[in-house]
Amino acid sequence: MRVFDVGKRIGSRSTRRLFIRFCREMCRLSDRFEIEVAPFEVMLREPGAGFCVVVSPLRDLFLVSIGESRSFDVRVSSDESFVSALDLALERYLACASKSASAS
Amino acid sequence: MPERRSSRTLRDVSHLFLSQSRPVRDEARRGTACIWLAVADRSMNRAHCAAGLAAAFARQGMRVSLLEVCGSLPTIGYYFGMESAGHLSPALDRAALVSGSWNGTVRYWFSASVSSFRGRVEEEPDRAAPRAIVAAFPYPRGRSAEPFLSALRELSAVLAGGGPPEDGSPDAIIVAGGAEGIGGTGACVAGMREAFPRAAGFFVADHSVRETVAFERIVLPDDLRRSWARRMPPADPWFDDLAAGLLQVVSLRRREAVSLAAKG
Repeated sequence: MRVFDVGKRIGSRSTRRLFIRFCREMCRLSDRFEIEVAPFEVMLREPGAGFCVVVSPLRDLFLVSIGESRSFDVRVSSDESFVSALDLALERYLACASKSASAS
Repeated sequence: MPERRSSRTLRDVSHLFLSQSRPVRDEARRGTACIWLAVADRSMNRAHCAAGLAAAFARQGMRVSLLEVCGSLPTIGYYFGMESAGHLSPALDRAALVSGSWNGTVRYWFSASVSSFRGRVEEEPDRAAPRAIVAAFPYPRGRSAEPFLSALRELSAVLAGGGPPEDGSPDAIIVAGGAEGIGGTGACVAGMREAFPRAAGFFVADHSVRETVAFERIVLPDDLRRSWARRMPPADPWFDDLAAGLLQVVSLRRREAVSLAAKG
């Protein structure tokens, strides 16, 4: 299954496009990501760094869950919420990469 | 953590760079150093390195023009404290060109597409101050490398004073690559050397990289990654040392070229 196919669950074309863009930008962050594409979500993890983000498409939006515990979600349905979610995910990724460097 | 020695500042070496000897290129290039940072793989944080180097030049009184062609996040906008809508613009629009300034000394532009810069970057207005032009980019693979480097050279020429494209050729090239992408790093070094045989070449990598390449190797400190998440340019003394070293090499090479030209 491909990320594009998972995104088809989203009815709005513009939100679907944001979903694809979000996944694409996340994938570009690191060559070390493990990417799992399931029917209802896309999970990107870098086990060595302790980074995990799960992107779940819904009918009119998609959820971005940051962290292994999925302690909080960002609901994305517009450019504004897209950049908020991407900014948070990016900051978390960089923080995890920094911590893993400190630990090694 | 081992204590790092205090860095040699650019002031200590600027007498070399700002010497009164006649430069090889035209007057517009006097006091201008053009440095290209080519990143060979994604294990290196291009924006972090570029922002740190630009800030190191700026800390010592140089005016800096910084270009980043950003194939992936983060962008330099993240490290210069831009709002999320600004530093993430290329994620929404690959052709978007974002610009800004930092501390009144660094002017920067970034876009995912090199063609977006055309006609939209301009020379540093303060010609009296020593200037650094820093261009950071992911090294393009295959046939796209040549037109990409040519376009980047034209942009550097505009920033250097609007001269012919040759004026945009880099004085020094830094290739940054990690252990995971050593094949790509080798291709990057070879491609840059072929395109700009006269430029000084440096290869920046962490300790894990054992392979040797034609460029002079500089080891990236392990603890540099600790500042990856901070939304400000890294201020590690390593960047000051790197900037000082680059200026020394550029200055000495220009002196040598002037000397050779004088001998006929």
